[in-house]
Amino acid sequence: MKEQDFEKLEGIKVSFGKTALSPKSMYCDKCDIKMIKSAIEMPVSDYIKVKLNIFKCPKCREQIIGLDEAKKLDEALIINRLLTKENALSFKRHLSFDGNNYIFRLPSELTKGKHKEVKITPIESNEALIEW
Amino acid sequence: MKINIIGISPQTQKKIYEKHSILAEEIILILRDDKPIFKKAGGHQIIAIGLYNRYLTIFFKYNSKRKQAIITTAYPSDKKQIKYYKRAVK
Repeated sequence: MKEQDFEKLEGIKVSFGKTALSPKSMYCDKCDIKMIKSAIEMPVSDYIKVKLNIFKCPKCREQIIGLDEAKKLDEALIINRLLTKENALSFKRHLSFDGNNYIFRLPSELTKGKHKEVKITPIESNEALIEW
Repeated sequence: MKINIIGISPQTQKKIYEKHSILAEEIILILRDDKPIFKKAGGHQIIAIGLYNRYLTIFFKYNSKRKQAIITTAYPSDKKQIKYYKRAVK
């Protein structure tokens, strides 16, 4: 979307209800009827499934989850990416050595904004999780 | 405009994570802790731009009768959107 197009759009003020992230009910947009609460096991990959409390339309079977519930799916997606890292989006960087430590640069595509430190969690002998 | 319900389909969430590494947690942090800019687009669409670690542009389909917003897509904001956001929040 072009900057000018975005600027031309009407600005609105939005407020959120207290239970917006964990709604107790949902409505199907297509059928305009109340969705039914249900529990499913959603496959994330061949090896990983996640149990989700969903809202399902009794007519068209559309499935929606609240954002708080979506955090469970987040965890499953992260675990799946760690386990299937060969296919995951990744960045390769050359290492420098200062006599004591290996140094590499974090790609700017990932790290927009200012950061002062990173947290490194070893996973195994030559793998680590890096957070910034 | 009041939003009482925010939702996302599991398939959409999986897609935006696979394409852009965007988690629902990140969207929650922007909506809850940042002050995103909201715009009304055509076809009952709302667009939000916000910042938490990085700038994200989030599209919602809004149902005014139910005060319900369903996330349809999200992606890292482009340079023009970031520039607009920075000007707007000054």
